Amino acid sequence: MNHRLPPIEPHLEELLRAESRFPPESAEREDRVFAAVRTHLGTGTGTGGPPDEGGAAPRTAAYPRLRLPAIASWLGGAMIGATLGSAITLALVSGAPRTMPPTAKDAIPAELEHEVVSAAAEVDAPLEQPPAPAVHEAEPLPDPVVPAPVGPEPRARIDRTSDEAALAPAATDPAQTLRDEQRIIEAARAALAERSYDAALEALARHRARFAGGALAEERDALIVRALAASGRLERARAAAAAFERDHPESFYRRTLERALAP
Amino acid sequence: VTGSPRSSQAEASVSRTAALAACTSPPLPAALDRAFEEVFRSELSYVCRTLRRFGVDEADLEDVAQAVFVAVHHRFAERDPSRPLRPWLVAFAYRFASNHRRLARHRVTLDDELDPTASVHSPEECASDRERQALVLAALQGVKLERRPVLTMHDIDGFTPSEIAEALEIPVNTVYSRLRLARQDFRLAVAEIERSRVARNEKGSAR
Repeated sequence: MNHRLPPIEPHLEELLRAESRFPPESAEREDRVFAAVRTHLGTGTGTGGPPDEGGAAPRTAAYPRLRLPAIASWLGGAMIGATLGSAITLALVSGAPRTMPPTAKDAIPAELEHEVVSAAAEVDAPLEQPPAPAVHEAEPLPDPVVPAPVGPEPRARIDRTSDEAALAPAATDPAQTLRDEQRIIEAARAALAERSYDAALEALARHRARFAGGALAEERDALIVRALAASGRLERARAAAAAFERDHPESFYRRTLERALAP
Repeated sequence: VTGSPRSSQAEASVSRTAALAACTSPPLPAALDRAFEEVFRSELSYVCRTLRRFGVDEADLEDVAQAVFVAVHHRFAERDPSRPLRPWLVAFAYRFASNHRRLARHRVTLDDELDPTASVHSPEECASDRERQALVLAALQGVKLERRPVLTMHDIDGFTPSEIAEALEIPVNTVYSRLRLARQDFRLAVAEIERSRVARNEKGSAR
């Protein structure tokens, strides 16, 4: 095969060369994304990594180590939003280069295979009319800022396992609690990325009901403002932003929220 | 059947199942975790820029970048430090951007400030890097997505075809053929933007 490339026109070459001198991202963005990555990984927002073996400081939740029943129900619950995907979890693997195992099945330890296959089969089930959790409807929304879903059914009915988690006895294991929080926040974030604002707000309300002062309360409150603003409910978004500023005066999300509310 | 709701479900099923595998991978040793943070700090701008080139909207950029780095963290221990870092990162960014773009709702919207058709300058006359960069980002959206990484890695980032082939896990011949086609797409896209710019300016001056 002929590997010689025809020369590119000088003005196009100049354009492409200019693009290589792209500006850096802001320090605020860097901090925000880094904190979000750490939150997702459960490794805190400090600059240090996890302690060495035998180190004094325990990791509250190294990687989210999901229990099998939770995994199965999580995968099942996730089916509802499966056609829409999730900005984070859906892309976790298909977004990774192919250095990952060729199939997901290959990557699952043998003892987990049965549960995962069952859950995956559930994910493949038709999406029509997912059963609405009766208890969820009975659960009052704790925050008047969060609106009840209006209009047509939100496309992304997300993470029903969160409902189950909300009804379950409070986990005594702090790592498990954090994982439960993460699951709801992640579902809300995915719904927000897909512009399913009502679904995002619904998840955030669930988080607030279950984990009012949780470790991810700051992220939750910021997401509420973003979801309200993005859905055009600006007055409520401003009210939520004011509450956020009061509750989290040092938060580095403040600048993001200012941008979200900018005209 | 590509693109059917059923295949989307199946794909999501595989993705989520494998995501589970990723979640159960062991934590990084402290030294590697520190190295990850260094990579994050030094390469976030590059990853964000790459995601923009691949069509990720500004509003979704941070969420997608976060997902990229979570995946990078999961695979970090497997990285060969003797190989160049950026092509490896581009491979993550490309796959995440592909997934993101697969959702029809995610479309690139350019504000007026970044809309190159709003410029009074032709591509040849673009005075500032900012104008040129806006034009390139817009024109890249006219390059077929599967060809875009090859164009950006070769003609913007300056990677060799063999580095690109290794990162994207495609044959070198494919790199060359995609690059030829990508350049053609890019050329046409720039010309189209130029036509829109001229038409817009003519319309403006006629008023």
